[in-house]
Amino acid sequence: MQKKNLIFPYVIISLVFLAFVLLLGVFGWLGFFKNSIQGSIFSFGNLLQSSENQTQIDKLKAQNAELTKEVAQYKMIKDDNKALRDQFNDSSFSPSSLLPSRVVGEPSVLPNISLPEELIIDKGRTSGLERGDAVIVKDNAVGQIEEVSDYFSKVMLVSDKNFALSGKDSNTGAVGIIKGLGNGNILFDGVLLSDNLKVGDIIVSSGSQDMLGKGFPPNIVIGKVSAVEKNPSALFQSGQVVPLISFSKQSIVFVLKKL
Amino acid sequence: MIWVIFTSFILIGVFLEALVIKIPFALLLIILAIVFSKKAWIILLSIPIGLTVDFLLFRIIGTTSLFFIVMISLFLGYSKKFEIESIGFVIFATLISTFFYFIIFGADNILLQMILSLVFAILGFFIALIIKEKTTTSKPLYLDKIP
Repeated sequence: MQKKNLIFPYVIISLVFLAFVLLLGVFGWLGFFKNSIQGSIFSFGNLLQSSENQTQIDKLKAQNAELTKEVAQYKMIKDDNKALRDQFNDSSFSPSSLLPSRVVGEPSVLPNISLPEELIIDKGRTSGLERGDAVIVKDNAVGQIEEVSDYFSKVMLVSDKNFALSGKDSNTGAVGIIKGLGNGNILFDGVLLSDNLKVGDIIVSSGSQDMLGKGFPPNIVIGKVSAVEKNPSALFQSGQVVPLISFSKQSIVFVLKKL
Repeated sequence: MIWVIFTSFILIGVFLEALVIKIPFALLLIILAIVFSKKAWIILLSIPIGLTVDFLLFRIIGTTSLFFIVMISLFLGYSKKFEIESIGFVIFATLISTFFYFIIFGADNILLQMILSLVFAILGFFIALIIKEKTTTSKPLYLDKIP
């Protein structure tokens, strides 16, 4: 006798069984089976993929390092571009008279403790730099070239103790001597008592270029007067000057040259 | 012997489906099991397979099993009237079942996946044919007619 292959009872049994399983699932009693199956299969899969993953991780790490380097370079280029754009847009000097130089060193500076007195830039004698050339950023005085080697130069900042320059008050025209006091401080000294010097006045250079064009041209901004010291019994008055730019934050400076 | 091979294939298929490639190997193997055995108890077998797939693919528990039950019932019903142990039926069953499978469980590039599934199903059909020939004892056809 041929056996009948009945489908209907199996379907009913299966559906009842499935309903029972769903009921177990509703009460959260399938967790053990679920975790066991997932755990065994996925851990086996991880085992197979682990060596491949490690290779992939190493590759991605190398790629990440490369990309980080590229991002840093991109940031530097972006900053340089911004500095150049700002300089050439805002400066009253023609681009041909400005030689962009990158700041490559700040000797004897303790970050967040002391401010730089000197900067080392990446242009030297081969680029036509000479001792005494003025260094500016956006019409603000940075300093003056003090020493020159073939490929590098040392810039003495306007706040350096050895720096001195004749200057004037841009508002009143009062003339005096700009002296560096060290650690970022500048003094506008030797102003006649009869002249008018006020807090907030802008001090600019009065021009110190020689026949070769070395030195500061007139009206280069030195800083803003933050305090005035006026003694009626003294012959001169003086004022504390705060630079409008931060020397330590400059990555590109411009050497004033008649190219 | 054949069921040991089938179980091994099912395990490998479920593993591949869960971890390697989103082709419904479990479904394809169940179709092949129906084609070659035509046994109704495969419906019962499809439940643990479906549940395992659900666990591994984080689906709602029971949905794959329910889908398997429906498809197997249809194919078994069809087998009562027509011969199903043919490549034509395997192609038809694979296309129909994978289409609904991908529609119900959601998949990208359904057509491409259906074609891939079809390739695997045809390959599986011929492998199963070879295995069947090797495992069944050669018995002359005329012996079947002797009462």
